[in-house]
Amino acid sequence: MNVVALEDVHKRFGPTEALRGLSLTVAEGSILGVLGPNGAGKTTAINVLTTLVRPDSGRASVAGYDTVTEPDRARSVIGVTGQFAALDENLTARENLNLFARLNKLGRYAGRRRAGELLEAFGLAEVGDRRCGGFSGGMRRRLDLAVSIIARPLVLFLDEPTTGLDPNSRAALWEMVRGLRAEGVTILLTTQYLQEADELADQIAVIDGGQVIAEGSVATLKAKIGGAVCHLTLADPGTRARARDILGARYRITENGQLLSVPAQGSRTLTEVLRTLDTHEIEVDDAALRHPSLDDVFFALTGAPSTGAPE
Amino acid sequence: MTTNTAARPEFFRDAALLAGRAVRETFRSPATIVLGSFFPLVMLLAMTLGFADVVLPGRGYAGYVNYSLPLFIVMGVVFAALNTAVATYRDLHGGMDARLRTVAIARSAPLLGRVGADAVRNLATTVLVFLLGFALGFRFAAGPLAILGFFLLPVVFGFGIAWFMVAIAMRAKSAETAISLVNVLLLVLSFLSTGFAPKGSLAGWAEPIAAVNPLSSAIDAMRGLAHGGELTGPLLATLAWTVALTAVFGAVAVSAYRSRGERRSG
Repeated sequence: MNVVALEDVHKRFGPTEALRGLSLTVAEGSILGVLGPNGAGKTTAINVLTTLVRPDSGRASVAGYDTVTEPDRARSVIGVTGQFAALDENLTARENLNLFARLNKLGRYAGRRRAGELLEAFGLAEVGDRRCGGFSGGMRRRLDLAVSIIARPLVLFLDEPTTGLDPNSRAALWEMVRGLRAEGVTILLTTQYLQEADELADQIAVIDGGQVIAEGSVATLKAKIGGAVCHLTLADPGTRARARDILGARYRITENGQLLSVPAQGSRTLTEVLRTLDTHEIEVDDAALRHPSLDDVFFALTGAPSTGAPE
Repeated sequence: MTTNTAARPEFFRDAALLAGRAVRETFRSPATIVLGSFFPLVMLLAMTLGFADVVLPGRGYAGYVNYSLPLFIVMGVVFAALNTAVATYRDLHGGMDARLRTVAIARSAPLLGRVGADAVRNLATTVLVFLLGFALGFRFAAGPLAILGFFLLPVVFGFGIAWFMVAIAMRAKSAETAISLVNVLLLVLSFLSTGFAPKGSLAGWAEPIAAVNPLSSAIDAMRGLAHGGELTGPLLATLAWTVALTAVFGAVAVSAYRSRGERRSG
Protein backbone atom coordinates (compact mmCIF):
# COMPACT_ATOMS: atom_id res chain seq x y z
CA MET A 1 0.00 0.00 0.00
CA ASN A 2 1.21 3.47 -0.85
CA VAL A 3 1.21 5.67 2.21
CA VAL A 4 2.54 8.70 0.37
CA ALA A 5 1.39 9.70 -3.09
CA LEU A 6 2.01 12.63 -5.38
CA GLU A 7 0.05 12.43 -8.62
CA ASP A 8 1.01 14.68 -11.50
CA VAL A 9 1.64 17.67 -9.25
CA HIS A 10 2.39 21.05 -10.77
CA LYS A 11 3.54 24.05 -8.76
CA ARG A 12 4.68 27.40 -10.02
CA PHE A 13 6.26 30.21 -8.01
CA GLY A 14 6.03 33.29 -10.19
CA PRO A 15 8.12 32.57 -13.27
CA THR A 16 9.65 29.40 -11.79
CA GLU A 17 8.02 26.05 -12.40
CA ALA A 18 9.13 24.18 -9.32
CA LEU A 19 7.16 21.01 -10.03
CA ARG A 20 6.20 19.91 -13.53
CA GLY A 21 3.99 16.89 -13.21
CA LEU A 22 5.78 15.20 -10.35
CA SER A 23 4.47 11.77 -9.38
CA LEU A 24 5.87 9.74 -6.51
CA THR A 25 4.73 6.96 -4.23
CA VAL A 26 6.17 5.48 -1.07
CA ALA A 27 5.17 2.00 0.01
CA GLU A 28 4.20 1.45 3.63
CA GLY A 29 7.16 0.87 5.90
CA SER A 30 9.77 1.67 3.29
CA ILE A 31 12.21 4.50 2.68
CA LEU A 32 12.07 6.47 -0.55
CA GLY A 33 15.15 8.51 -1.30
CA VAL A 34 14.44 11.54 -3.47
CA LEU A 35 17.64 12.50 -5.13
CA GLY A 36 18.31 15.62 -7.10
CA PRO A 37 20.50 18.70 -7.42
CA ASN A 38 19.69 22.07 -5.84
CA GLY A 39 16.53 23.53 -7.35
CA ALA A 40 15.28 20.17 -8.61
CA GLY A 41 12.03 20.58 -6.64
CA LYS A 42 12.82 18.33 -3.69
CA THR A 43 11.83 20.79 -0.98
CA THR A 44 8.71 21.90 -2.87
CA ALA A 45 7.65 18.26 -3.14
CA ILE A 46 8.04 17.90 0.63
CA ASN A 47 6.22 21.19 1.24
CA VAL A 48 3.28 19.96 -0.84
CA LEU A 49 3.14 16.66 1.00
CA THR A 50 3.39 18.32 4.40
CA THR A 51 0.54 20.77 3.66
CA LEU A 52 2.83 23.81 3.57
CA VAL A 53 2.32 24.46 -0.12
CA ARG A 54 -0.86 24.01 -2.11
CA PRO A 55 -0.29 22.41 -5.51
CA ASP A 56 -1.54 24.26 -8.62
CA SER A 57 -2.81 20.97 -10.00
CA GLY A 58 -2.52 17.29 -9.29
CA ARG A 59 -3.10 15.51 -6.03
CA ALA A 60 -1.04 14.86 -2.91
CA SER A 61 -2.02 12.50 -0.14
CA VAL A 62 -0.58 11.07 3.04
CA ALA A 63 -2.07 7.90 4.55
CA GLY A 64 -4.99 8.44 2.19
CA TYR A 65 -5.67 11.99 3.40
CA ASP A 66 -5.63 14.67 0.74
CA THR A 67 -3.21 17.40 1.82
CA VAL A 68 -5.44 20.15 0.39
CA THR A 69 -8.92 19.04 1.41
CA GLU A 70 -8.05 17.27 4.67
CA PRO A 71 -4.94 19.10 5.86
CA ASP A 72 -5.50 18.57 9.58
CA ARG A 73 -5.95 14.83 9.16
CA ALA A 74 -2.82 14.70 7.03
CA ARG A 75 -0.94 16.74 9.65
CA SER A 76 -1.97 14.37 12.39
CA VAL A 77 -0.12 11.44 10.79
CA ILE A 78 3.11 13.11 9.65
CA GLY A 79 6.38 14.24 11.13
CA VAL A 80 8.67 16.68 9.36
CA THR A 81 12.33 17.50 9.71
CA GLY A 82 13.17 20.42 7.48
CA GLN A 83 16.48 21.69 6.21
CA PHE A 84 16.76 24.10 9.09
CA ALA A 85 16.45 22.80 12.62
CA ALA A 86 13.03 24.04 13.71
CA LEU A 87 13.71 24.45 17.41
CA ASP A 88 13.11 27.19 19.90
CA GLU A 89 16.64 28.07 20.96
CA ASN A 90 15.49 29.69 24.18
CA LEU A 91 13.85 26.49 25.33
CA THR A 92 15.62 23.42 26.62
CA ALA A 93 15.63 20.21 24.61
CA ARG A 94 13.00 18.78 26.94
CA GLU A 95 10.81 21.88 26.71
CA ASN A 96 10.88 21.72 22.92
CA LEU A 97 9.78 18.09 23.04
CA ASN A 98 7.10 18.77 25.65
CA LEU A 99 5.70 21.67 23.65
CA PHE A 100 5.27 19.62 20.50
CA ALA A 101 3.94 16.67 22.45
CA ARG A 102 1.16 18.89 23.82
CA LEU A 103 0.50 20.55 20.45
CA ASN A 104 0.16 17.04 19.00
CA LYS A 105 -2.58 16.40 21.58
CA LEU A 106 -0.57 14.10 23.81
CA GLY A 107 -1.57 14.46 27.45
CA ARG A 108 0.79 16.22 29.84
CA TYR A 109 2.12 13.03 31.41
CA ALA A 110 2.16 10.92 28.26
CA GLY A 111 4.02 13.77 26.57
CA ARG A 112 6.62 14.05 29.30
CA ARG A 113 7.21 10.32 29.32
CA ARG A 114 7.62 10.25 25.55
CA ALA A 115 9.99 13.24 25.68
CA GLY A 116 12.11 11.45 28.27
CA GLU A 117 12.22 8.29 26.17
CA LEU A 118 13.32 10.19 23.09
CA LEU A 119 16.03 12.15 24.92
CA GLU A 120 17.36 8.82 26.14
CA ALA A 121 17.09 7.09 22.76
CA PHE A 122 18.76 9.96 20.90
CA GLY A 123 21.65 10.34 23.31
CA LEU A 124 20.44 13.70 24.59
CA ALA A 125 19.48 12.73 28.14
CA GLU A 126 22.43 14.55 29.69
CA VAL A 127 21.76 17.82 27.88
CA GLY A 128 17.98 17.53 28.05
CA ASP A 129 17.62 20.45 30.43
CA ARG A 130 19.96 22.78 28.61
CA ARG A 131 18.75 25.37 26.16
CA CYS A 132 19.27 24.02 22.68
CA GLY A 133 20.64 27.34 21.42
CA GLY A 134 24.04 26.10 22.55
CA PHE A 135 23.80 22.69 20.88
CA SER A 136 26.17 21.48 18.15
CA GLY A 137 24.84 20.88 14.65
CA GLY A 138 24.63 17.15 15.23
CA MET A 139 22.75 17.52 18.52
CA ARG A 140 20.30 19.94 16.93
CA ARG A 141 19.55 17.55 14.10
CA ARG A 142 18.99 14.72 16.53
CA LEU A 143 16.69 16.83 18.66
CA ASP A 144 14.91 18.06 15.55
CA LEU A 145 14.32 14.47 14.48
CA ALA A 146 13.14 13.59 17.98
CA VAL A 147 10.63 16.48 17.92
CA SER A 148 9.31 15.36 14.55
CA ILE A 149 8.55 11.85 15.81
CA ILE A 150 7.20 12.87 19.22
CA ALA A 151 3.66 11.82 18.31
CA ARG A 152 4.69 8.57 16.57
CA PRO A 153 3.87 9.66 13.02
CA LEU A 154 3.00 7.08 10.37
CA VAL A 155 4.99 9.01 7.81
CA LEU A 156 8.20 10.93 8.32
CA PHE A 157 9.58 13.52 5.91
CA LEU A 158 13.26 14.32 6.09
CA ASP A 159 14.47 17.20 3.95
CA GLU A 160 18.22 16.84 3.50
CA PRO A 161 18.59 15.60 7.06
CA THR A 162 22.37 15.42 7.17
CA THR A 163 23.39 18.48 5.16
CA GLY A 164 26.26 20.15 6.94
CA LEU A 165 26.88 17.37 9.46
CA ASP A 166 30.24 15.82 10.20
CA PRO A 167 30.70 12.13 9.27
CA ASN A 168 30.11 10.83 12.81
CA SER A 169 26.89 12.77 13.27
CA ARG A 170 25.76 11.69 9.83
CA ALA A 171 26.33 8.03 10.61
CA ALA A 172 24.49 8.42 13.93
CA LEU A 173 21.52 10.01 12.21
CA TRP A 174 21.44 7.26 9.59
CA GLU A 175 21.29 4.74 12.40
CA MET A 176 18.27 6.50 13.88
CA VAL A 177 16.51 6.62 10.51
CA ARG A 178 17.06 2.89 10.06
CA GLY A 179 15.71 2.34 13.57
CA LEU A 180 12.54 4.24 12.69
CA ARG A 181 12.00 2.18 9.59
CA ALA A 182 12.42 -0.94 11.70
CA GLU A 183 9.55 0.38 13.84
CA GLY A 184 7.39 0.56 10.72
CA VAL A 185 7.58 4.28 9.97
CA THR A 186 7.28 5.13 6.29
CA ILE A 187 9.97 7.62 5.33
CA LEU A 188 10.53 9.99 2.46
CA LEU A 189 13.92 11.64 2.51
CA THR A 190 15.49 14.06 0.10
CA THR A 191 19.18 14.28 -0.33
CA GLN A 192 21.90 15.58 -2.57
CA TYR A 193 24.19 12.90 -1.27
CA LEU A 194 24.16 9.79 -3.41
CA GLN A 195 25.85 7.84 -0.69
CA GLU A 196 23.03 8.72 1.69
CA ALA A 197 20.36 7.42 -0.68
CA ASP A 198 22.46 4.32 -1.26
CA GLU A 199 22.81 3.75 2.51
CA LEU A 200 19.20 4.31 3.52
CA ALA A 201 16.72 4.06 0.69
CA ASP A 202 14.77 1.02 -0.47
CA GLN A 203 13.62 2.88 -3.54
CA ILE A 204 15.06 5.92 -5.22
CA ALA A 205 13.46 8.62 -7.33
CA VAL A 206 15.85 10.87 -9.17
CA ILE A 207 14.25 14.23 -9.87
CA ASP A 208 15.42 17.12 -11.97
CA GLY A 209 13.50 20.16 -13.19
CA GLY A 210 10.46 19.23 -11.11
CA GLN A 211 9.99 15.80 -12.68
CA VAL A 212 11.04 12.26 -11.92
CA ILE A 213 13.68 11.28 -14.43
CA ALA A 214 14.32 7.81 -13.07
CA GLU A 215 13.04 5.62 -10.31
CA GLY A 216 13.46 2.15 -8.97
CA SER A 217 15.50 0.20 -6.50
CA VAL A 218 19.12 1.14 -6.02
CA ALA A 219 20.15 -2.01 -7.88
CA THR A 220 17.79 -1.34 -10.80
CA LEU A 221 19.13 2.14 -11.25
CA LYS A 222 22.67 0.91 -11.20
CA ALA A 223 21.81 -1.75 -13.77
CA LYS A 224 20.29 0.94 -15.98
CA ILE A 225 23.63 2.43 -16.78
CA GLY A 226 25.29 -0.91 -17.25
CA GLY A 227 26.63 -3.60 -15.02
CA ALA A 228 29.88 -3.98 -13.23
CA VAL A 229 33.27 -3.40 -14.81
CA CYS A 230 36.63 -5.14 -14.29
CA HIS A 231 39.50 -2.73 -13.96
CA LEU A 232 42.94 -4.16 -14.68
CA THR A 233 46.39 -2.71 -14.20
CA LEU A 234 49.22 -4.76 -15.67
CA ALA A 235 52.56 -5.28 -13.96
CA ASP A 236 54.52 -4.51 -17.11
CA PRO A 237 53.11 -1.65 -19.21
CA GLY A 238 54.90 -3.14 -22.23
CA THR A 239 52.45 -6.05 -22.24
CA ARG A 240 49.41 -3.83 -22.48
CA ALA A 241 49.05 -3.86 -26.27
CA ARG A 242 49.22 -7.67 -26.32
CA ALA A 243 46.70 -7.97 -23.49
CA ARG A 244 44.36 -5.59 -25.28
CA ASP A 245 44.48 -7.69 -28.45
CA ILE A 246 43.92 -10.96 -26.62
CA LEU A 247 40.99 -9.66 -24.51
CA GLY A 248 39.64 -7.50 -27.35
CA ALA A 249 38.90 -10.68 -29.27
CA ARG A 250 36.27 -11.61 -26.67
CA TYR A 251 35.26 -8.38 -24.84
CA ARG A 252 34.48 -4.78 -25.66
CA ILE A 253 37.35 -3.31 -23.73
CA THR A 254 38.23 0.29 -23.12
CA GLU A 255 41.59 1.75 -22.32
CA ASN A 256 42.18 4.63 -19.99
CA GLY A 257 45.82 5.36 -19.36
CA GLN A 258 47.30 2.34 -17.60
CA LEU A 259 43.83 1.01 -16.90
CA LEU A 260 42.06 -1.61 -18.99
CA SER A 261 38.32 -1.87 -18.40
CA VAL A 262 36.27 -4.93 -19.30
CA PRO A 263 32.46 -5.03 -18.97
CA ALA A 264 31.69 -7.79 -16.50
CA GLN A 265 28.86 -10.23 -15.98
CA GLY A 266 29.50 -10.72 -12.31
CA SER A 267 32.70 -12.09 -10.87
CA ARG A 268 32.96 -14.85 -13.47
CA THR A 269 34.22 -12.38 -16.06
CA LEU A 270 36.96 -11.31 -13.70
CA THR A 271 38.04 -14.93 -13.20
CA GLU A 272 37.99 -15.58 -16.95
CA VAL A 273 39.99 -12.49 -17.72
CA LEU A 274 42.62 -13.32 -15.12
CA ARG A 275 42.84 -16.92 -16.33
CA THR A 276 43.21 -15.81 -19.97
CA LEU A 277 45.97 -13.38 -19.08
CA ASP A 278 47.66 -16.01 -16.96
CA THR A 279 47.62 -18.45 -19.89
CA HIS A 280 49.42 -15.84 -21.97
CA GLU A 281 51.85 -15.19 -19.13
CA ILE A 282 50.79 -11.56 -18.71
CA GLU A 283 51.20 -10.52 -15.11
CA VAL A 284 48.48 -8.44 -13.44
CA ASP A 285 49.38 -5.86 -10.82
CA ASP A 286 45.82 -4.93 -9.76
CA ALA A 287 42.39 -6.30 -10.64
CA ALA A 288 39.08 -5.06 -9.31
CA LEU A 289 35.39 -5.58 -9.94
CA ARG A 290 33.69 -2.23 -9.63
CA HIS A 291 29.93 -1.56 -9.46
CA PRO A 292 28.74 1.77 -10.76
CA SER A 293 28.14 4.36 -8.04
CA LEU A 294 25.01 6.46 -7.83
CA ASP A 295 27.22 9.27 -9.03
CA ASP A 296 27.57 7.39 -12.29
CA VAL A 297 23.80 6.86 -12.37
CA PHE A 298 23.17 10.51 -11.84
CA PHE A 299 25.63 11.55 -14.49
CA ALA A 300 24.15 9.17 -17.00
CA LEU A 301 20.60 10.40 -16.31
CA THR A 302 21.02 14.15 -16.09
CA GLY A 303 24.21 14.73 -17.99
CA ALA A 304 25.41 16.73 -15.02
CA PRO A 305 27.53 15.64 -12.12
CA SER A 306 25.72 15.49 -8.80
CA THR A 307 26.39 18.13 -6.22
CA GLY A 308 28.88 15.75 -4.70
CA ALA A 309 29.08 12.97 -2.18
CA PRO A 310 29.83 13.88 1.42
CA GLU A 311 33.42 13.78 2.33
CA MET B 1 -11.48 23.75 5.26
CA THR B 2 -9.49 23.83 8.48
CA THR B 3 -12.24 25.31 10.58
CA ASN B 4 -14.38 22.18 10.55
CA THR B 5 -11.74 20.20 12.43
CA ALA B 6 -10.34 23.01 14.58
CA ALA B 7 -12.84 23.21 17.40
CA ARG B 8 -12.85 26.39 19.48
CA PRO B 9 -11.61 24.94 22.77
CA GLU B 10 -8.60 23.54 20.92
CA PHE B 11 -7.91 26.95 19.45
CA PHE B 12 -7.53 28.45 22.91
CA ARG B 13 -5.59 25.44 24.18
CA ASP B 14 -3.10 25.69 21.31
CA ALA B 15 -2.84 29.47 21.69
CA ALA B 16 -2.26 29.08 25.43
CA LEU B 17 0.48 26.49 24.87
CA LEU B 18 2.21 28.77 22.40
CA ALA B 19 1.76 31.79 24.65
CA GLY B 20 3.43 29.79 27.43
CA ARG B 21 6.31 29.06 25.13
CA ALA B 22 6.60 32.73 24.12
CA VAL B 23 6.54 33.85 27.77
CA ARG B 24 9.43 31.52 28.58
CA GLU B 25 11.29 32.82 25.58
CA THR B 26 10.62 36.42 26.60
CA PHE B 27 11.94 36.05 30.12
CA ARG B 28 15.06 34.28 28.85
CA SER B 29 15.86 36.79 26.14
CA PRO B 30 18.40 39.38 27.29
CA ALA B 31 17.28 41.87 24.64
CA THR B 32 13.71 41.75 25.90
CA ILE B 33 14.78 42.06 29.51
CA VAL B 34 16.81 45.14 28.62
CA LEU B 35 14.02 46.86 26.68
CA GLY B 36 11.21 45.77 28.96
CA SER B 37 12.84 46.49 32.31
CA PHE B 38 16.31 48.06 32.37
CA PHE B 39 15.45 50.62 29.76
CA PRO B 40 12.36 52.13 31.44
CA LEU B 41 13.92 51.78 34.90
CA VAL B 42 17.11 53.56 33.91
CA MET B 43 15.15 56.23 32.04
CA LEU B 44 12.94 56.79 35.05
CA LEU B 45 15.88 57.05 37.41
CA ALA B 46 18.00 59.26 35.15
CA MET B 47 15.17 61.60 34.21
CA THR B 48 14.00 61.93 37.78
CA LEU B 49 17.42 62.59 39.24
CA GLY B 50 18.55 64.76 36.35
CA PHE B 51 15.56 66.66 35.06
CA ALA B 52 12.93 66.71 37.77
CA ASP B 53 13.73 70.28 38.67
CA VAL B 54 13.89 71.41 35.06
CA VAL B 55 10.52 69.99 34.03
CA LEU B 56 8.58 70.76 37.19
CA PRO B 57 10.62 73.31 39.19
CA GLY B 58 10.33 73.18 42.94
CA ARG B 59 8.21 70.04 43.21
CA GLY B 60 10.94 67.56 44.06
CA TYR B 61 11.48 64.03 42.85
CA ALA B 62 8.06 62.86 44.03
CA GLY B 63 6.31 65.57 42.06
CA TYR B 64 8.13 64.62 38.87
CA VAL B 65 7.65 60.87 39.36
CA ASN B 66 3.96 61.31 40.04
CA TYR B 67 3.73 63.24 36.80
CA SER B 68 5.89 61.16 34.48
CA LEU B 69 5.74 57.56 35.69
CA PRO B 70 3.13 56.60 33.04
CA LEU B 71 5.51 57.79 30.33
CA PHE B 72 8.19 55.31 31.37
CA ILE B 73 5.71 52.46 31.68
CA VAL B 74 4.36 53.16 28.20
CA MET B 75 7.87 53.48 26.77
CA GLY B 76 8.83 50.15 28.34
CA VAL B 77 5.73 48.55 26.82
CA VAL B 78 6.16 49.84 23.29
CA PHE B 79 9.94 49.43 23.07
CA ALA B 80 9.92 45.89 24.46
CA ALA B 81 7.33 45.08 21.79
CA LEU B 82 10.12 45.48 19.23
CA ASN B 83 11.22 42.05 20.38
CA THR B 84 7.81 40.71 19.53
CA ALA B 85 8.54 41.68 15.94
CA VAL B 86 12.01 40.13 16.15
CA ALA B 87 10.74 36.87 17.64
CA THR B 88 7.88 36.62 15.13
CA TYR B 89 10.26 37.23 12.27
CA ARG B 90 12.67 34.61 13.60
CA ASP B 91 9.89 32.03 13.82
CA LEU B 92 8.77 32.76 10.28
CA HIS B 93 12.19 32.53 8.74
CA GLY B 94 13.91 30.04 10.99
CA GLY B 95 11.83 26.93 10.42
CA MET B 96 9.81 27.03 13.64
CA ASP B 97 6.73 28.39 11.91
CA ALA B 98 6.96 25.80 9.13
CA ARG B 99 7.02 23.10 11.78
CA LEU B 100 4.03 24.58 13.57
CA ARG B 101 2.09 24.59 10.33
CA THR B 102 2.74 20.89 9.81
CA VAL B 103 1.13 20.11 13.17
CA ALA B 104 -2.64 19.88 13.39
CA ILE B 105 -3.18 23.05 15.44
CA ALA B 106 -5.55 25.96 14.96
CA ARG B 107 -4.25 28.24 12.20
CA SER B 108 -3.90 31.51 14.03
CA ALA B 109 -2.85 30.02 17.36
CA PRO B 110 0.84 30.92 16.86
CA LEU B 111 -0.04 34.60 16.34
CA LEU B 112 -2.47 34.74 19.21
CA GLY B 113 0.06 32.96 21.43
CA ARG B 114 2.67 35.56 20.58
CA VAL B 115 0.33 38.45 21.32
CA GLY B 116 -0.89 36.78 24.51
CA ALA B 117 2.67 36.51 25.79
CA ASP B 118 3.06 40.25 25.30
CA ALA B 119 0.31 40.83 27.85
CA VAL B 120 2.33 38.96 30.48
CA ARG B 121 5.49 40.87 29.65
CA ASN B 122 3.66 44.21 29.69
CA LEU B 123 2.18 43.53 33.10
CA ALA B 124 5.68 42.68 34.39
CA THR B 125 7.07 45.93 32.94
CA THR B 126 4.26 47.95 34.49
CA VAL B 127 4.75 46.43 37.93
CA LEU B 128 8.54 46.83 37.85
CA VAL B 129 8.47 50.46 36.80
CA PHE B 130 5.75 51.17 39.34
CA LEU B 131 7.88 49.66 42.13
CA LEU B 132 10.86 51.88 41.34
CA GLY B 133 8.50 54.83 40.99
CA PHE B 134 7.00 54.03 44.36
CA ALA B 135 10.48 54.07 45.92
CA LEU B 136 11.06 57.49 44.34
CA GLY B 137 7.82 58.84 45.76
CA PHE B 138 5.03 57.86 43.37
CA ARG B 139 1.67 57.56 45.18
CA PHE B 140 -1.86 56.83 43.94
CA ALA B 141 -4.56 59.35 44.70
CA ALA B 142 -7.46 57.27 43.43
CA GLY B 143 -9.78 54.42 44.32
CA PRO B 144 -8.98 50.71 43.93
CA LEU B 145 -10.88 50.43 40.64
CA ALA B 146 -8.82 53.25 39.13
CA ILE B 147 -5.64 51.62 40.43
CA LEU B 148 -6.63 48.37 38.76
CA GLY B 149 -7.27 50.33 35.58
CA PHE B 150 -3.83 51.92 35.88
CA PHE B 151 -2.18 48.49 35.78
CA LEU B 152 -4.46 47.11 33.07
CA LEU B 153 -4.31 50.00 30.67
CA PRO B 154 -0.72 49.38 29.48
CA VAL B 155 -1.62 45.72 28.97
CA VAL B 156 -4.67 46.61 26.89
CA PHE B 157 -2.80 49.24 24.88
CA GLY B 158 0.09 46.78 24.47
CA PHE B 159 -2.31 44.36 22.79
CA GLY B 160 -2.79 46.79 19.89
CA ILE B 161 0.95 47.49 19.77
CA ALA B 162 1.67 43.74 19.68
CA TRP B 163 -0.51 43.26 16.59
CA PHE B 164 1.28 46.18 14.96
CA MET B 165 4.64 44.47 15.64
CA VAL B 166 3.43 41.07 14.43
CA ALA B 167 2.12 42.64 11.22
CA ILE B 168 5.46 44.39 10.67
CA ALA B 169 7.31 41.09 11.13
CA MET B 170 4.93 39.37 8.75
CA ARG B 171 5.43 41.86 5.94
CA ALA B 172 9.07 42.84 6.47
CA LYS B 173 11.69 41.74 3.97
CA SER B 174 14.48 42.42 6.44
CA ALA B 175 13.95 42.33 10.18
CA GLU B 176 16.80 44.73 10.89
CA THR B 177 15.55 47.44 8.55
CA ALA B 178 12.00 47.17 9.84
CA ILE B 179 13.06 47.24 13.48
CA SER B 180 15.31 50.26 12.97
CA LEU B 181 12.50 52.19 11.30
CA VAL B 182 9.96 51.30 13.97
CA ASN B 183 12.52 52.16 16.65
CA VAL B 184 12.83 55.68 15.21
CA LEU B 185 9.05 56.00 14.98
CA LEU B 186 8.64 55.01 18.63
CA LEU B 187 11.34 57.40 19.74
CA VAL B 188 9.76 60.30 17.86
CA LEU B 189 6.33 59.45 19.23
CA SER B 190 7.76 59.27 22.75
CA PHE B 191 9.27 62.73 22.54
CA LEU B 192 6.40 64.34 20.68
CA SER B 193 3.95 63.28 23.36
CA THR B 194 2.64 64.76 26.56
CA GLY B 195 4.91 62.34 28.44
CA PHE B 196 8.10 64.32 28.98
CA ALA B 197 6.71 67.77 29.30
CA PRO B 198 3.28 69.10 30.23
CA LYS B 199 0.81 70.12 27.54
CA GLY B 200 1.42 73.68 26.50
CA SER B 201 5.17 73.57 27.05
CA LEU B 202 5.80 71.82 23.72
CA ALA B 203 6.73 73.82 20.62
CA GLY B 204 3.73 75.07 18.69
CA TRP B 205 4.23 72.76 15.68
CA ALA B 206 4.48 69.73 17.99
CA GLU B 207 1.23 70.40 19.83
CA PRO B 208 -1.11 68.86 17.22
CA ILE B 209 1.14 65.81 16.90
CA ALA B 210 1.20 65.33 20.65
CA ALA B 211 -2.56 65.69 20.75
CA VAL B 212 -3.28 62.83 18.33
CA ASN B 213 -0.31 60.73 19.45
CA PRO B 214 -1.58 57.38 20.84
CA LEU B 215 1.24 57.42 23.38
CA SER B 216 -0.10 60.73 24.73
CA SER B 217 -3.55 59.23 25.11
CA ALA B 218 -2.26 56.22 27.02
CA ILE B 219 -0.03 58.36 29.24
CA ASP B 220 -2.78 60.90 29.97
CA ALA B 221 -5.29 58.14 30.69
CA MET B 222 -2.88 56.56 33.19
CA ARG B 223 -2.35 59.94 34.85
CA GLY B 224 -6.09 60.31 35.16
CA LEU B 225 -6.39 56.84 36.64
CA ALA B 226 -3.57 57.46 39.13
CA HIS B 227 -4.43 60.92 40.31
CA GLY B 228 -7.86 61.82 39.06
CA GLY B 229 -8.32 64.69 36.65
CA GLU B 230 -9.19 64.42 33.00
CA LEU B 231 -9.86 60.76 32.26
CA THR B 232 -12.74 60.05 29.89
CA GLY B 233 -11.20 61.71 26.82
CA PRO B 234 -7.76 60.07 26.92
CA LEU B 235 -9.22 56.74 28.07
CA LEU B 236 -11.62 56.59 25.14
CA ALA B 237 -8.85 57.70 22.78
CA THR B 238 -6.57 54.94 24.08
CA LEU B 239 -9.26 52.31 23.68
CA ALA B 240 -10.05 53.60 20.19
CA TRP B 241 -6.39 53.39 19.24
CA THR B 242 -6.19 49.88 20.65
CA VAL B 243 -9.24 48.73 18.72
CA ALA B 244 -8.00 50.39 15.54
CA LEU B 245 -4.48 48.96 15.82
CA THR B 246 -5.89 45.51 16.56
CA ALA B 247 -8.42 45.61 13.74
CA VAL B 248 -6.07 46.96 11.09
CA PHE B 249 -2.83 45.24 11.98
CA GLY B 250 -4.51 42.10 13.26
CA ALA B 251 -6.20 41.73 9.87
CA VAL B 252 -2.95 42.43 8.03
CA ALA B 253 -1.07 39.93 10.19
CA VAL B 254 -3.66 37.16 9.95
CA SER B 255 -4.15 37.51 6.21
CA ALA B 256 -0.40 37.63 5.57
CA TYR B 257 0.00 34.60 7.81
CA ARG B 258 -2.64 32.60 6.00
CA SER B 259 -1.19 33.27 2.57
CA ARG B 260 2.30 32.38 3.73
CA GLY B 261 4.13 29.45 2.25
CA GLU B 262 3.02 30.18 -1.27
CA ARG B 263 6.00 32.42 -1.82
CA ARG B 264 8.54 29.87 -0.77
CA SER B 265 10.29 27.65 -3.22
CA GLY B 266 13.05 25.10 -2.95
